[in-house]
Amino acid sequence: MTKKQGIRAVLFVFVTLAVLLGINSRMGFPKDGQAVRITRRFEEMYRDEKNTWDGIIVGTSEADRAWSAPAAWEEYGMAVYPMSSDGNPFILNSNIIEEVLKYQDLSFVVVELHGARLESLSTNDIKIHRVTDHLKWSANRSDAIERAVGYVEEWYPEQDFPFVLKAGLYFPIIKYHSRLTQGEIYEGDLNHGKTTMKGVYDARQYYMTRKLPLKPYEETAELLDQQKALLDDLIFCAEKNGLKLVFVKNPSDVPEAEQASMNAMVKYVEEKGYPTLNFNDADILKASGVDGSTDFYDDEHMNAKGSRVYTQYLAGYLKEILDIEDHRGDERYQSWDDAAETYDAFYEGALVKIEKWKKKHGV
Amino acid sequence: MSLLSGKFVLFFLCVFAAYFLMPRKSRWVVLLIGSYVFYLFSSVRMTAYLLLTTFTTFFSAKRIGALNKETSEYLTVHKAELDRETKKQYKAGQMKRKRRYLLFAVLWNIGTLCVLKYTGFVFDTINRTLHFVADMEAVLPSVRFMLPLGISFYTFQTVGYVIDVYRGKYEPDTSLPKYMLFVSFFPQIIQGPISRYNQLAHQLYEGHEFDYTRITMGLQLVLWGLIKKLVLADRLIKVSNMIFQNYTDYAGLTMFIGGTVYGVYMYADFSGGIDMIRGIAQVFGIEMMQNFERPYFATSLSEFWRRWHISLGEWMRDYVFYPVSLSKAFGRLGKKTKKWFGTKTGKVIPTYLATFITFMLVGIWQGTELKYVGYGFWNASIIAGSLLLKPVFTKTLDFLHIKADSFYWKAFGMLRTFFLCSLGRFFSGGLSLKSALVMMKSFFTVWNPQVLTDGTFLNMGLTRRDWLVVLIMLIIMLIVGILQERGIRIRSSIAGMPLPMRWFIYIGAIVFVVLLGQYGPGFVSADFVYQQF
Repeated sequence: MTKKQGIRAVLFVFVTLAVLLGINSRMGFPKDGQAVRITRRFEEMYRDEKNTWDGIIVGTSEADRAWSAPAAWEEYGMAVYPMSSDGNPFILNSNIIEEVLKYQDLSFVVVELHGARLESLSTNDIKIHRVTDHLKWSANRSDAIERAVGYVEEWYPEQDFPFVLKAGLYFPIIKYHSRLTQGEIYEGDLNHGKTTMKGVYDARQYYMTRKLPLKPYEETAELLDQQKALLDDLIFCAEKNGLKLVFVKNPSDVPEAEQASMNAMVKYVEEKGYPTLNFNDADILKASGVDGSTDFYDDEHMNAKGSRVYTQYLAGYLKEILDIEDHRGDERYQSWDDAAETYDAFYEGALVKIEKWKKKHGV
Repeated sequence: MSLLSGKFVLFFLCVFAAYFLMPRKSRWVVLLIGSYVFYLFSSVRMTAYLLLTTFTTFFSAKRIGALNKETSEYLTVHKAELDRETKKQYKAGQMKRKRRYLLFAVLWNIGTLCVLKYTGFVFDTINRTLHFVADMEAVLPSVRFMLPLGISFYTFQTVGYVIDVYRGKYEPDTSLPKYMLFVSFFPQIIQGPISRYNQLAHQLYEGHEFDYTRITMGLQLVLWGLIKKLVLADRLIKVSNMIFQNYTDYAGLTMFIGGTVYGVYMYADFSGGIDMIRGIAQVFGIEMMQNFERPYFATSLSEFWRRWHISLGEWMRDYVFYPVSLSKAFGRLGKKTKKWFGTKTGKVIPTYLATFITFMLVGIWQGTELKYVGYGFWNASIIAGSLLLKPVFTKTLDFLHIKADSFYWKAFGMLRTFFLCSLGRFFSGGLSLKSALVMMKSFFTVWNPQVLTDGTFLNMGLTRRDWLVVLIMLIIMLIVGILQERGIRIRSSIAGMPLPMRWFIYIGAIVFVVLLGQYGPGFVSADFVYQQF
């Protein structure tokens, strides 16, 4: 082989890999109307002004449906961003934190606990994809994949997780290339767009509402080793990075066993000295002002109205226990002001729809 | 270890690196070790069969070779003192001794193949027959032996080698390790081609240089094979499975399309696998024989079989057809048929009978069920029948003033062959002989062209876009086929293009298979169909 041929061969491999990686980046998790919101939420982490976030909220869909970051900004000037995804595997919260820390010098992390409840403990490759497909190529992304797969193999050995699934986590095109012929190509695959309200969930469901028999719950179940391991893992990550942790159990109408299990988690972290805000507690639920009859669109997800009430209450709590600076007026935070403006308009529109629904249903 | 697995890619890269890092003289050792590692991956236990075949054929051929040499030397030394009769007697004696070794090698190896492959089929047939005739319960156990990887291929290859040595075509191999490589060479042991010793062995034994152009050519062939397998074959198998496995739900034209799709699937799968094998071999500097020459361009069924699985066809011709048709028994038969049917017809009957036997064997080689006997019968009867009726066809063409070499007649011939092949696939692709006959009957008795437009084919596991991909692939393969028929060497032509164009084609092909291939979670990429032989 001549030198020229050698150079040409190497160049060919590079060009081919570049093309394949380019396609790989577009052929990942299908970005339909719902999923593209997760993409936008995660991409904001890479796009936003560096070192402007005070904290993040991690968790599953319960977290991002509930937390309206602009509402907290308007009230207290705090920049707390929701870094959650639908069915977010709890084990990946540590990797999400590590990823955010590359761009933002966080001082605290709020952990919403629905992600570690009994029903959410098991996970699958799709839920893992929702997180890892949104992380840039790095050692942390590989670690996230390995940890998530390791978690499944450790706790769910009966769950088939063949090599090809794992390979698909590294190269999503392996799993999702067939979307091309299955007609599952979405506008969001080509143009992700971007979040204009700092991760506020603005899907259609947000305008709907549902009457929820929200009530306090005091029973506590025994905490599973698996839940302890997940919480300990997160605590270890936070301590390693000098981050403060706040644990929150959002209001929801999930089965009693789940409520008891989440109460146990709250108790476990309280014993370790971490601040908690448990909406199963009667006083907290009442003080928050969250109204089950008007603030939810299903058993566990809040609508725009509930989200604002919840956010203002949680933000007040965070302000109270943590030393969070008011950044309003700081030009580095202009994007937060813009987000608040967009959010206000969105919120007003949502309220009108919710009022219409209430009238229609006699609430 | 499947050719399509990540494991194989790693394995290939290791063998590739080791091969070219070794001194040229010892490069064959890398291939030998690689081949046995590959085989051990498939099954440690089954390697014993491979070794037994290797040893029995090697030592038989060696002994036959020694007898050949002894005969030749004896006759040279004693040329003057031996009269014609003594020479003849001596030769006959030596031939008898040689034949013993030949028979041992052939019977041992073909016997092993038959026992492993056909015992279950024979036992089941006996049980079924007894049940049918005398209403008896099964008297023989239902047995199924695990087949060693590529047993048909390496058995045929080694038996061919011993026969060739017996015939004095070439000297036997003197090195057992090198011969072990000839038998076990890792890409070809999966599904052939059934190579000839004089064509392959010396290429394996000599160390080949690192030739950039040759390696890239080989990789292109691998890529082309991969496209045929992953983009086309693994799509079509869904459709043919759907029709063949639920044949009672379909009728008429759908059956024919099922046969057609199965035929194209077999071609894409088998030729795709062979392309990959030939490509891998080419990377190591080894040119393996073509096993397919665009069979769907054939104008008759016999030509189709000369273009399809060429190495098997040639093996059958050299080691079955000629020995049978030139045997003493057939000679005697010829005399009798001449007496019964007259000189002209009687003369050709033994040839047609030998053709019939050969194609029956090709059918049975495909598998161990009655449907394969049906498949053999279908091909054998059409080919033997068309040979028998050839004079009538010729006269008819003359009468109608049709030129046999005209474009239209050739096109008609291709369509006719395609049609017959598609019908024949009812046997090889169907669930059983009965299902094949039901499908055949349905095709000839139900007229339902509406299935082409009523969306029937959109409910067979392929979306509209999948069908579009199939269509694109068929067009590409047709164009490639036409160009190759015209003698154009595609890979060389691409190599002569400007670099940007070349890269566009290569990268485009890689992207094509990555985006449109049937692989990944949720897909069970079917094994190469001929791997089970």
